[in-house]
Parts: sequence; structure tokens; C-alpha cells
Amino acid sequence: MIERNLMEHMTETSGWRDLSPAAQVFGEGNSIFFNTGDWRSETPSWNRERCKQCLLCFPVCPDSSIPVSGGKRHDFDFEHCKGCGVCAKTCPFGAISMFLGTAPAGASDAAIAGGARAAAAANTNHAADKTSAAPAAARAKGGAK
Amino acid sequence: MSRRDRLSGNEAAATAIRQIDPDVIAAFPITPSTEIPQYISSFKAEGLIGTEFVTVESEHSAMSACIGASAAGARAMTATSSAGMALMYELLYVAASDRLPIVMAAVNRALSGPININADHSDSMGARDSGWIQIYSENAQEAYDNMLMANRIAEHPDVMLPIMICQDGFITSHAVENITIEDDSFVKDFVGEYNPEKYLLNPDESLGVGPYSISIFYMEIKRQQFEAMNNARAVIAKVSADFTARTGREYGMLEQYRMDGAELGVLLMSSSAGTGKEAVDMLREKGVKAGLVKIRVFRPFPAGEIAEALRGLKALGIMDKSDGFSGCGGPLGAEVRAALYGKSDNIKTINYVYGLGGRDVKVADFEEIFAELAAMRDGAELPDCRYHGVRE
Ligand code: SF4
Ligand code: SF4
Repeated sequence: MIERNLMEHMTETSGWRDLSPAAQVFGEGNSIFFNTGDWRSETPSWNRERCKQCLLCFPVCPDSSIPVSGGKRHDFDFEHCKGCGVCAKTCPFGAISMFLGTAPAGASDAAIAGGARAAAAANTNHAADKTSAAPAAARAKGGAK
Repeated sequence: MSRRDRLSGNEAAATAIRQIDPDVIAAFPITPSTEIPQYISSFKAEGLIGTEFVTVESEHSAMSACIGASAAGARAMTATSSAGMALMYELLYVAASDRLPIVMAAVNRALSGPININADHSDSMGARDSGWIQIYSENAQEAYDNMLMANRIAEHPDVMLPIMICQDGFITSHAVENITIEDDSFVKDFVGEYNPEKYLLNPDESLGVGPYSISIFYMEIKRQQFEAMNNARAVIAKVSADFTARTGREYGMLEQYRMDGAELGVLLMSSSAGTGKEAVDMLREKGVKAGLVKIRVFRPFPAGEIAEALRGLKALGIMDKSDGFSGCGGPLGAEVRAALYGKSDNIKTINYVYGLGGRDVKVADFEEIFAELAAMRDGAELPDCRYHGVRE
């Protein structure tokens, strides 16, 4: 029998005997092990100058990917942000914009070419409207750890 | 002390359920299993059981409620038939793959159309690949006894799979027979308590049940289910042996009736076995080497035991109370022939589809079938499959 809190030992190379029965998930708070970040086809960018720290964005993030401490939000947790764009739609001050591509702003990502960036920035509805190819790109790194 | 009493198959199943006193029953009425939840609601009203009885609005909900209750850690049961079971199909797979040992009293009835309320095995045969253990009962006594054994089989840590205990609608469910009922204290002791290792309502341990599983995990989880179904063989044997030791009533994966020296045999399930045994006795008196094999456990399928039991036969009639519409016979025909393949290839077989929608099956039908088997043994060419008891 598999002990509790051994979820991290269940990986995509585990044999059937070493996975929990019926894929039951033991213990709590283990979604941290599941990097939904690589589901992303669009990426949010935070404009610190425009940000008023009103904190309307972090509660709407379905993946708890906007860390808050000391009464202030910080930059996105890109390990887990899956690029849904809900935060950008919520921000009343235009401090969050969405860009095509998977890499955070500032990182080198050929996909974030100037043109694509401008086009995406012009339309923050983009993510909500499109039926994206994200599932096909989902590689579930870390799986049901 | 056990006692003799006059009970119908439905009363027998309901009596077993009362004695087991499960934590939760969720059920929706459907002929011919309606009486089972009806009796249970009376037991509840009379304070004879502590069960939480959930009166749901459909069988889909009944199975969903059982799944929730079972995952929470409760001993959960239901009863259904025909279209009710069909409405559960989606959830039957969920119950099995989530490894929840739910017990179902299944009262076999034909599926529409034409709409029909009488017995055949189309309903549970449609669920044969759902991952449930399936046990078929010949009469009210077996329906009662199999219910008493169900929890211990399903809840065994090596198994943890749901189980359906089948009996034929009306023929068994509504016919009153003299059967032996065990004491409540005997049942309490025999069935025991259900103490799952993991359950949702455990305040000391967090658990998630039924997660999404992508391709890199799904197949390993199915492999676990395959293992559990195979483990059920030894557990069924052990529980049945314990039951026999305590009651004197014998149960195996299948029952062989006068198979010693038999040349002609029929293989079938449930109530028609009783009629078949009568025919075998009559034929034996006339010197015909007739025998009968009744399958009790259909899932897991006792392929080895079947090949062993049929060895020595010259001609075999495999009798299906449902037509799987493969165009070449019913499910029992296909699986029994697969069990014989490479083991007893010299047995000539014919697959009969019979008794659909409650079509009566009499001793004379078996005499006709055995006469055909004798002709086949002696060289007559017969089709691989044919309907028996249909007007041409
Ligand atoms: S894009 Fe979606 S997932 Fe990423 S931080 Fe914003 S709300 Fe959260
Ligand atoms: S909603 Fe916009 S302004 Fe408010 S904290 Fe978030 S990013 Fe800053």
C-alpha cells in the first residue's frame, strides 16, 4: 500500500503498482507540483508604473498565480500561470496586458515578435474569444504528482 | 438458528439488505426490482434499519449518490433493472474505475424495444465490460445467499470493485419459494464491518477521488483494475468456501450438474438452470448422457473452470438470454467458445439465443435442444448460432 504524502514519488515513470489505487490523490496542497505554466499560449505582463496595487486581480486568478505579500501583489508565478487572461480583463487600470507566446516579458522568446505583441496588446479579449490550441500543447509535466 | 420462510426473490434480496443494514441506499423504482427499495423504505419506516435511504429522481442519480457515499466511506447499495441500469451505464464505469465496492441487487429485465418488462439478460450483459463483478442467481435462495456474500467480495482490500447480484425478473423476483433465512446475528457476523483504508470523510487524512488522468497515467490505472478483477477469483472462492462451511450451501464459480460421463451438455445462467436440471434428470433416466453447467460468476469470467467442466463433452449448447447482435451469437457463446479454444476443440458447439423478453422456457424446450445436440454429435450439420423458441 502506498503511504500518504508519497504523491511526489508518483511520476510518469512509475509502474502501475506504484501509483495510488484509482489515481486517488493523497494529502492536500499538491497542485503546486503540477506545472500548469506550460499550458500557456499567451502570457500576461505587469506594468508596475500603472499598477495602483488595488489587488482586484489576484482573487480572480484561477491558478493562484499572482503572489501577494505585505499588502502588495508581486510578479506572476509563471510556473503555474496558464495564460487565461482573466487578470488582464479584471484590472481597471490597464496594468496587465496579454502577449502571444509562452515566455514572460523580458525573456527571449522568438514567438513574442514585436508585431504579434502589439496585436495582442490591442485586444485583451483575445484569450477569452479564441478556442486555443492549448490542450494539444499540454504536456502535463509533473503529471498528477 | 436459520429458519425456513416463504419469500420471493425480491423479498429475499431485501431481507439480505435489511440484515446487512448498509449505511446508504440510493435507488429509483423500476419494474421488476421496484419491490426492493419499497421493502427497504418499509424497514426504514419501521426502524428496522439505520440506513440513509436516498430517494433520487433517476437511476443516473442513484448510482451517482452511491458513488459519493462510497467514496465518503459508507457501505452503499442500490437496486435496479433494465432501462434503469442502462441509465446508470456511464456511472457504472466510474464506480468500478474509482474502485468503490458498491453492491447492486440487479433484477434482470429486457431492454426496449419493443418495450417489455420481462426477464432476459440484455441489461446486465450490456454492463459486462463496465468493470463490475457479476454474479447470477438461479433462484430466491441463491439471490439471498449471493447478497450475503457480496460485500465481503467487493470490499476485500485486494478487490475493491463494485458487484451486481443478478436474478431473473418475475421468474425469480416475484415467484415465492421456501428458502432458508439466516439469523440477523449470523449475517452481522458473516458480513462484518466496512472499514475502508481511505475515505473522503476521514478528518485525519486528505483524499481526492476520481481525478482527471492523462494518457501517461490512464493505462496504469486500468492495469490496476485488471489486477483487482483477477484478484476477485481467489476472494470469491474464499468467501464462498466460508459461506459453505457455515451454512452447508455450496457455491463455486460455476455449478456442474450431472456432468459425470456426460456427452451432451448445456451451459447457461440463472433461472432456466432449474428447468434444465429437470430435463437432464428425465433424460438421464432414459439413458441419455446429458449434463448441465450453470455459470454463477460471469465477471471475472471463469474461463479455466469452464474449459475444465466441459472436457469430455461431445456436443454443447451455449444458451444466451440476450442477443449481443454481433450477428454470430450472444456474449456467453463468444466467451465460452473463446475459453474452449485450443483446450477442447473437439467439442461441437451451438449457441442458442433463447428466452428473450420473458419467452417461456420449458422442460420440453430442453428436450428439443438435447435432441439437437445428439444429432450434432452424430454428424448433423447445425448452424453456429440460432434462436430457440421463436415462431418461424
Ligand atoms: S493569465 Fe490567468 S492564470 Fe495567469 S495570472 Fe492572469 S488570471 Fe492567473
Ligand atoms: S488589478 Fe491592476 S492595478 Fe490592481 S493590483 Fe492588479 S495589476 Fe495592479
